[in-house]
Amino acid sequence: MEGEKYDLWSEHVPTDILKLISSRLVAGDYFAFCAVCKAWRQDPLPPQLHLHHDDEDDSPSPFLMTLHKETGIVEFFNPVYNALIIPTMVISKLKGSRIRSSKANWLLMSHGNRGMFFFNPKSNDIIELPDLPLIHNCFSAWTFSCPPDSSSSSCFVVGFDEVGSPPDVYIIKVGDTTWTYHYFVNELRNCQGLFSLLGCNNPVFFKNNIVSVLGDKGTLGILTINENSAAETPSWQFYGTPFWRTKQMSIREVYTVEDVDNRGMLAVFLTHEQGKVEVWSSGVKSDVCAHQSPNVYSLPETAQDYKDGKDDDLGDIDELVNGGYMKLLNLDNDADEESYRLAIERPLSPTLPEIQYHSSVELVPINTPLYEGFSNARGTVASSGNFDVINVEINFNQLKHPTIDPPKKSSLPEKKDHVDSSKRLNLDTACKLSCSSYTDTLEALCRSDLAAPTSEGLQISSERRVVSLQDGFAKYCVIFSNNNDENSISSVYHATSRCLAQCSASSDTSLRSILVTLLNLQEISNE
Amino acid sequence: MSSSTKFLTLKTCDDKKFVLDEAIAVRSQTIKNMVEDDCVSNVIPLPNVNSKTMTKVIEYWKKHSEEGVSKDVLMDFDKAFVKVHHSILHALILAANFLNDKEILDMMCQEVADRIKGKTPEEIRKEFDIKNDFTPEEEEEIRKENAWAFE
Repeated sequence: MEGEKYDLWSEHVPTDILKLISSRLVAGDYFAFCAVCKAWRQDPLPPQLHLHHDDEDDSPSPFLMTLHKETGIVEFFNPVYNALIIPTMVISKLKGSRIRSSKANWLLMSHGNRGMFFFNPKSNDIIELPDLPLIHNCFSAWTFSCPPDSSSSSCFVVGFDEVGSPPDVYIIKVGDTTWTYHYFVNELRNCQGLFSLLGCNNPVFFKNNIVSVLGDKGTLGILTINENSAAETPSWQFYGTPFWRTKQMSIREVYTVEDVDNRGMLAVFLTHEQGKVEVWSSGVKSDVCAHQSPNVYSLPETAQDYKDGKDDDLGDIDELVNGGYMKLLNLDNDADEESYRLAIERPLSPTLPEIQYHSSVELVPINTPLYEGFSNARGTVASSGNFDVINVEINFNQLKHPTIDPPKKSSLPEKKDHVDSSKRLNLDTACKLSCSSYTDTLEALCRSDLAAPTSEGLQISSERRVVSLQDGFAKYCVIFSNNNDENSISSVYHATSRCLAQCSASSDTSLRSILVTLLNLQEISNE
Repeated sequence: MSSSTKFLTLKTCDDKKFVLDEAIAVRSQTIKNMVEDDCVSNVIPLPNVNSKTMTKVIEYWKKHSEEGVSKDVLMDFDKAFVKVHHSILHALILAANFLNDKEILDMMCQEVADRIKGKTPEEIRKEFDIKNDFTPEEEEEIRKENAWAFE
């Protein structure tokens, strides 16, 4: 018996059972599994990567998609398993196209100066849209409401102009023959001053025809499509208080993502400071009314920071409103913690308790369309079972759960190490939400293979795991574009792996969701 | 519909016999198939399962067949059920696999996965008494491959 002791698990477990076990592991845990012994290393490709086309499969695995602009070749990278998948089929239409936005399985793409179309990388379906009545497509931010082939609701596509205050928009309802141009004049000017977009921005299309987009001053603009019609003039509303000027100046790019779990929105600010990223959460939550369990907006090690204000927020609408509509979230490093602390101490952000506009128009009326929109959005998303990458669900509550493995809580010195070592990472995906960027790098794909010699290890493994895609694509894609700043990317991976380790109590799905969120949050550092 | 309860006799590899209500025993897809195919004589042999493991499995089956057991009670039961030495876990997985009881198999695999989560390869080996059969070179290669995961 004693002799057998050492090979019970290595020699006497059928392969399919090993697969059953490994399929429950992601990221670092999965790699650790593969590194245990030879028998456990048999199949470097976890079942999830054999992208089976099972429609029953409701566990969306996030993929980063890269589009080689020159060739039209598409690559999928699974960050959870560090695997690169290159389908054999090349769609000529994709040559020279740019990815503008993504939702569920669909990408909104632009082609040439005026062409717009939808592309579904899973089915390779293309749905053409009418040409834009523009000489040159200078609209920087694009979004759409739902899959264009959706039978249940109309799909609107909205493009925001870089200029205009508030920005001019082009809208089309899929099926319409022309785009409708809407511009807005001064009476719509928001009370805090003009609202314009940052050059780089991706609006979030919530349910109920509501699009929210962050302005260059840190305020939130909500565009509502009226009467379910593109021809009807949409209405703008604005929320929040502007950032202080120094803060405004520090923002280089901003990305937003729907925070399904908290019925709000997450915003990621990429600052001019190299590699510095801030994540904010929209505080306009329907939870206030519902009196649900407290939302935890921070990663475990920073939960403490929030403790004081947090619980009060939920019961106290005034405080929520007065406290500003956004909160800074923390990532995994001290610098971010520090910036939160600074934000609290100095009036740089609307989080500040000092900024109390008790009677001013800046207050977010709690029964505004925004509020309803979020709440409805939540309902619909939750019930639809459709889980697209932007609509990721973050189960931060679990992170806070006392069952967190204590040994995995990194101490601060460890964190430093992580940051340093993560610089060596040069993941070959990276990216930035394709939806918007006025740089020409938007062709999406960038394997930064070439970038750093230290990335060797990862390259090897990607290559090893290259598989040809026989039976289809992942259900969900995250679309990103070029990114030259590997540091930020690695720090995402970092945050992610730490995060994963720390919430071992939660389910795979929520882990993946967290990962996706982090990726979304962090695509961040371009240029 | 038979009015009386039918009993099956299961015989484990160490020649122990278990007499079990058929309604419970058919939680095993393997046994169910045998019953449905009418190839059940008096005793169903389970050549891959020992009595110790079978006792555990039957304990699980019975608990989960009881009526009026609240979800919480079942969850607590399951929690306690998987808190066993890895060798028993191993035996249960193989038994569940042989008996084709997806419920137990899933639960056990999840437990193994949970025990792996957050650990380094070395810690995992310790947990499951696995010998490291990689050469130092191979190990280095693996480590390099996914450096980020091990840092």
